[in-house]
Amino acid sequence: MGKIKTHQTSNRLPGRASLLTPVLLVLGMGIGVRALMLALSHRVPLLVILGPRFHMTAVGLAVGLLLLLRASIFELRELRDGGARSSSAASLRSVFVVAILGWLLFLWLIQPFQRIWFDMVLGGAAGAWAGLLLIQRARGERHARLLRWIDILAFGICAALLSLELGLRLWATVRPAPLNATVGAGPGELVRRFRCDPGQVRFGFACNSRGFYDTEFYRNEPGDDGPLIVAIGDSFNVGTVPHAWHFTSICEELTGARIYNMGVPGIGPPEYLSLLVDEALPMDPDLILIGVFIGNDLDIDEYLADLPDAALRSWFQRDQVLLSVIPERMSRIAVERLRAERRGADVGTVQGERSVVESMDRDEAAAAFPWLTDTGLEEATLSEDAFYRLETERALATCAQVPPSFDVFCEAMLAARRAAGDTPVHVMLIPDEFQVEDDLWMRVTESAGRELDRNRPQDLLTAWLGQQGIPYLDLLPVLRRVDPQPDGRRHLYHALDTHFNARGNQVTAEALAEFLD
Amino acid sequence: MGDLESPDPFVRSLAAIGLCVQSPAHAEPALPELLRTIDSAHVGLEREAARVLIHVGPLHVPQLLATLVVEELMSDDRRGAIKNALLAAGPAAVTPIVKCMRGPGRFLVGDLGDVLLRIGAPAVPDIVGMLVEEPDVRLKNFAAFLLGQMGPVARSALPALKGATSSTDADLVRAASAAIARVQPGHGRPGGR
Repeated sequence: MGKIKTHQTSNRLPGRASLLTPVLLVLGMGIGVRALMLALSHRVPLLVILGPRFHMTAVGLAVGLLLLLRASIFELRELRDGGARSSSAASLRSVFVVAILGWLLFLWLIQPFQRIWFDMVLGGAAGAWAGLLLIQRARGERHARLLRWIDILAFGICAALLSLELGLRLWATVRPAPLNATVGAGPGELVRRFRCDPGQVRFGFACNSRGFYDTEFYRNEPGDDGPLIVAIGDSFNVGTVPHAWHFTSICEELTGARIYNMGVPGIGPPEYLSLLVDEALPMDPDLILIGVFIGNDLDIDEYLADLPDAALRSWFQRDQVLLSVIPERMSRIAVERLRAERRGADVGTVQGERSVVESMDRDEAAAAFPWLTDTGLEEATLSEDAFYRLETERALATCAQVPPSFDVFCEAMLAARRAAGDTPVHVMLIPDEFQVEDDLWMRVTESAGRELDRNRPQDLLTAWLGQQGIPYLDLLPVLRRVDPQPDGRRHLYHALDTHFNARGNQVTAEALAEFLD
Repeated sequence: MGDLESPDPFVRSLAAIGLCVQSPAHAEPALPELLRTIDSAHVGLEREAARVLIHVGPLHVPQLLATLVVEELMSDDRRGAIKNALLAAGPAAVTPIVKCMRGPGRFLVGDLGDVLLRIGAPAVPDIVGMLVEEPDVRLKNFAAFLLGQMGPVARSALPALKGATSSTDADLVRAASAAIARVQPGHGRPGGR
């Protein structure tokens, strides 16, 4: 394209704009030199990491540098002679296209993001751009029309991709939702995205004005009836049963305490801390109960917060880029939707969750949802494939090793206790279903393909909580004490769902009431 | 060396790998970072770090053993990498391993015993030493068990094992007898040669 333009502008006096290409080339040379130096200065570890590919990389960077040098000389000579030069618009277009292609290549092949890879790819991209300029010069006259079409088409596609990502980010800012959440989102941000909508009706019960699956919350005042307990947790607190059947509601009846259920699906220990500080403590509760779900609270992606180059990371780490995240999530949803359609159920919702809009008491709910009292009538929430895959992943993350986020959990709990001051903080450990149902455990261990320690998370957590003097209720022995039904299963979790059913909520409520007493 | 202090974990890991490869004998300051890298998924160099640890580990057996003792809550990946590095050290690691088992690493006998088993025959004299000299009968038991697991390669341990059968501890007698049966096939087995 440079050549095409140069024919049109060759008689033009050199202006400020026409200096752009040489300036960009000199800048590219700086980037290329830096990349090559970086590669050479880290050659020993890079040889270990890349093996023979390191030599190819180094040679590639050196070649890129030579191309930059060649193109710079060419451009500067042209500049001196006042001859054919690339137009500034064409240069910017080609820089843009190479940058976007480099970005996509990085997202596709070079993960996770590391600064050194970024610098090297940048050096490579600069060399590639110089090569492109030289090719355009060499081929410009013969394929002028074709090159111009390729130029415009490539620019259009790249601009569309960038606009799409920017648009998605804008959407994520204006309308935060689980679909557009990224791994690095801070705790407060995750709580905002994942909490229920105020007034959202679940099993005929409207969430309160704060978006919690409970009645309206009021600050604890002297003279109020009974102690005030705030129960913080994830989807177990949101629950998969009508409000009157939830363990916090049953426990309220058993103890006479007021229990505010602050549950937000999909959150973990850092978000519990955020909820505790921002929403629980202002209620001035007498006690705070944090529900910790073994299945996913010890395997969280919080680490990104402390890593350097956060801005670059947000564009070059695949799980931070919405263009990559959203299609992947949508495809998963589509697969689940397809499976659910075959079964005639909603996707990602528990059986009957949206079917009733009238408020119901416990007996009315039991009549409306017969599966509450007969587990044989439960319909699966997830497909079998998705459920077993999820359970196996959770078992591998928590039972094959010290859970990856054990430190994060400990820090969050200690910070919660510090933040709560005189208000006691207690913890309730909620086991994963594979720890309770023996047939599921057998299936999970078969799929895991390595040795798993079924009790490891609780062993670690109870030891640590005991050491720290944090009172805890471990539900694992409680749930295991429940007699199996004739089919050998305890049926405490909703079918293929991972959350407590009515039986699980009842057993939990009774244990919790005893614990709180 | 300066890069070992970098705020970027990837740069620290690169520095640790570089130091270990370039100067294995002086890589002690890099070992903690190398071990951290083994289970840092966000760095993405887990396999490389484990490979380098095998290369450098034989020169730093005491430090690796100390790490196993101190870091009780260690991931299986990191523990496995250390065990592989100790195994790579071969016979040179046997005496420090047995010393560790008889000292601060008593709770690690399972892991360390596994390494000794994989080292094989060169580990026999030290295990025999543990069987004969160790005052803790549980460790004596474990030594007998290990020798039994080694099978015929532990033939030189037979006198010590036979001596252990006259112990007053019933468990040790049982363990020693079982070990003899495995070390000397046919011995004590009905219908054996």
